[in-house]
Formats: sequence, C-alpha cells, structure tokens
Amino acid sequence: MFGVGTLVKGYMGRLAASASVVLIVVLTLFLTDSLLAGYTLSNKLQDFITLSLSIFVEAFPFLVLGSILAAVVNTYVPAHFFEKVLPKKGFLKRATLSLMGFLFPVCECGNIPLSRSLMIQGLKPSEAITFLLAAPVINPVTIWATWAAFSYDQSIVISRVVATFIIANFIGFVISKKKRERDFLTEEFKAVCDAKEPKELNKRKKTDKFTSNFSHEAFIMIKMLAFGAIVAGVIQTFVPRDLLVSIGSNVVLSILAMLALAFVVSICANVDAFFALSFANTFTAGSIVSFLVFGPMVDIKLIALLKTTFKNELIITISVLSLLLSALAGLVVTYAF
Amino acid sequence: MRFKNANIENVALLIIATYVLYLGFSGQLNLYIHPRYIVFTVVMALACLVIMLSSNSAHRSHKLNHASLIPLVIVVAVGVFLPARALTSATFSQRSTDAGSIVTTSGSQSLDSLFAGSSRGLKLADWNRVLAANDDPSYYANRTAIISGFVYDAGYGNDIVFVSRFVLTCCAVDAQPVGVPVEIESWSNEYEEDEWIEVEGTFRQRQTINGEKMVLVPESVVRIEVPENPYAN
Repeated sequence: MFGVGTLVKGYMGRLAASASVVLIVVLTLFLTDSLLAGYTLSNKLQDFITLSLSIFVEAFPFLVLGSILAAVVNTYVPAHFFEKVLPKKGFLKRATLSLMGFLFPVCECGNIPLSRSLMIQGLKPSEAITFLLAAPVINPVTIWATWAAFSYDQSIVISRVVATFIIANFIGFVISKKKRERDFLTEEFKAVCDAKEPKELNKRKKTDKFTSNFSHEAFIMIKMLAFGAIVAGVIQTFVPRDLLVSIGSNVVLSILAMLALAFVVSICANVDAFFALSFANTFTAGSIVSFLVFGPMVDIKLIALLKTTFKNELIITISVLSLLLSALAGLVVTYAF
Repeated sequence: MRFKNANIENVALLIIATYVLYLGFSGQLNLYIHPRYIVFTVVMALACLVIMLSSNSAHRSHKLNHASLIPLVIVVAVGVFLPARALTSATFSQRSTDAGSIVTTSGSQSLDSLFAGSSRGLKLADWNRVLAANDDPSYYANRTAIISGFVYDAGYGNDIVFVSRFVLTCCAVDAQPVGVPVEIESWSNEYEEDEWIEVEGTFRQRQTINGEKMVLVPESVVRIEVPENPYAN
C-alpha cells in the first residue's frame, strides 16, 4: 500500500509540476503578445528570427513523429528482430532497408531517431545509413507529392526514386568496406548502444521506457535542430538567393545552383517537390532531379542532426559522395531524356 | 544530477510543445508554415505534450553538456518572448525571382480560365501570373483588380510602387515574393515600406524604367491591418 501511495503521489507531483510549466508558458505567450504587440526590430533581424523559427517549427512535428516511432522500436520490438527478418547478405539487406520507407514514411529529420533505433537494435552504420538516405524519398508520401507536383513529367518522379535508390545503396556499400564500422559512431551514441536493458519488463515499466526513450531522442534532436535552424536562418538572411536563381538554364551551372539551393533551404523531402516545381520553368529538368535527390540526403539542418550520432569523418564522406552522385544523376537526366 | 538532466529534457519538450500548440490555436502558425501542414503540426505537438504529461520515469543518466543547450535556449526564448511576425521587404529584395514561375493555389489552372469569370476574385499571386504571361493592354480592359499586400520599393521611381506578398510552398524558408506594380504619385510621401494596403483599380500600360509595363492604376487605396494569413497562398 505504501509503495502504491508513494508512486501515485510521485506521479501526481510530477503532473502538477508539468501542468504548471505549461500554464506559465501559455501565460507568458499571452502577456508578451499583448505587451509587445507594437514592438519593431530592424527588418533584417526580424526576418532572421522568422526564418529560423520557421525551420524549427516546420521540422518539429517530423522529429516528434520520428522519435515516437524510434521509441516504439526501442521498447516494443524484440532485440535483433530486424536482423532476423532481413536478408543476411549485405547487399540484399541494404537494398531491403532502402525500401523500408514504405513502413516508416517519415521525412529525413524524423528518420534520424529511427535509424538510431535500428542501430541500437543491432544494425550496422552502413545499413542504417542506406535506410537514412533512401527512406525519405522512397516512401508513399514523398512519391505521391512528387507525382502530384510533376504530373506533367513522370520522368522526374522515376528519376528521383531510381537515383535515390542507387546512390543510397552505393554509399552504404562504400561505408560497409570499413573494417570497424562502429568507429564511425560518436562516443555518446556508442554508450547508448551498449547500455544493457533488463530482459523482461512489465507493462508499466515498458510505458516508462517508452516515454523516457521518446523524451531522450526528441530532446537530442531538437537541441541540434535549434542549432541548425540558427545557422540556416543566418545563411538565408544574408546570402542573396536571386544570385543562385539567376543562373537558370545552363546545364552544369543550373545543377550546381540547385544543389546549393537544396543544401541551404533545408526543407523536408515530403514537401520539397512543390518548392522545386516553382523552379521548373527556369531550370533544367536535370537540375530539378539533382535538387530532389540531394536535398533529402544532406543539408544544413541534417548535418546538425547527423552530428548527434556520427563522427565528422563519416558525415563528410556522405556529404561529398551524395553531392557528386546527385550532380551525376542530374547530368544523366539532362542528356538521357 | 540524474534527476536534473531528465528534468531539463522534460521541461524543454513541455515548453516547446506548448509553444507550438499556442501558435496553432492563436492562428500564428500561418506565419511560419503553409496552412496544409498546420493540422499535422498541432497533432504532433499535442502528442508530444501528452507523452510528456504522462511521463513517470526515472531516467537513465545522460551526460548533458550545458553549452550545447545555448542554441535551443536562444530559439525557445526568442519564440516565447517576441511576438511572431511575417517576413518583410528585406527578404523580398534578396529573393526577387522570375515572377512568372511562381506557383500559386490556382497554379494548375490555365490563365484564361482564371480570367473567365469576374476578375474581382483574383488574388495578388494570380495577377502576378497573368501579368507575367500577357502584356496586351486590351486583355485587361474593364478588368477590376482588388489586391492587398505590403508596400515594397522595387526601384521603379517615385510614382510606381509594388504591392507584395510572399508565396509559401512549405514554410517561410521557401517563401518566394510576388508583387504587382501600382501607380501612386509620390508614394513615399504617403506610405512607408512594409505598410499594408488594399488597392482597387484597373491595369493600364505605363512607361517604366523597365520598359512598357501593365501597371495597376487605383481608384482607391486603403490602409489595412496585417491579415491573419499574410502570405499569398
């Protein structure tokens, strides 16, 4: 009886504390909205704030969804489950993983917590990265959005999916050649992978594990997201975009411009097709494909998020390879179609 | 220390989820993201809040480097303490793009079907498309335009100013500017950049620094409050 009582009291205490945090935040928001209604900052500073917050607010729900899925995998999927059901051969295993976006149609920022949970499950970094690079594009939501945006030119949709599949698997293959793949992981994440969990948890303990796992994953991601949002906000505010966009119709320059744009803009794969569409009149189809392939793999925000898990050496390898191969994909589309 | 770190995580997530929900329910999410993502964003913030409120866990200890919290503290503090605002003319001037390529809500419709009924319902972004595609003055005869947006000085001199908005496809990051030239004699004596106005008038051909252009000649110009959705979606 005493135990249950303390437990309830502990929980009620925490709930009351949490509820007061919520209340204080709401009151502060109300107050600042009414007290500071007339304030003005310089336009540049104001736009920097709006742009950074916009990146933060846009990515937040995807990170929450990704962290929920990661916590579900960490808590409810038996250890080594994926290793048992996936093909054993490296190549086939990675190819299957690159199609797993059909199971988890989350965009790239949500996929980072998910790929962390796959590595905690026992998958190698090269396998998790193949999933990470492919899944944001090869999933029903992104394919549908790309198809909806480019319904007049199906070759763009097909090129996007095929190029992403090939590049993700190629980069996975290159990484798998390293003898000790574990060396690519940050010390913090190695410690998370090595943490031993008690085998059997009762239902309540499982719920607790789920919530603590969720909050830990979501917090790590959101901390880095804030950093990425500030950097991307600075670049967005101070690098004139009309410079990039004025390049337009030259085959090689347009590809370079769209790759740079993908890196700077940092928007999610689920929605970037509509953005790319607005450049379709002025840019070559090849450069649009480069944008659609490269953007979900590497951008400012993603590099910040990747740093939670992988060492710089690996992040640079992924960035350079995906940049060059996306450019190549753009050239192939330009000359082949 | 263990308790403390777990608490920082929980409190941070509670604050952020509450902040996003507040933006959602006060209509301010419009300033940051396209309306079609608002429901998804609110639902996920709600999920985060519910999980955090039901959390009853003693955490594993995690090493927490306090310096790494600085960006998050800055972003959250700015978000909570400063009122949300729409993008301004500063971003317009560094993003001027080929106006004809902008995609609007009616982007899939052909220009002629846009123009088939009354032109009064056409929005700023629609007119932007029409103007980019057609500069024949007879096309615009007896077509009244009613548009609203912020005042932007596009360098057309003292008698032509742009009424402008941004088009979002996903969030403010991908905002692209659209604008329609309006003839207002010595506009800078009367209006300031970023001030919101509504203009009713018809298009006439005028000589500008960029050659002959169709320019909106107003019958009336009214100052307005910043609308709830200030973007041209």
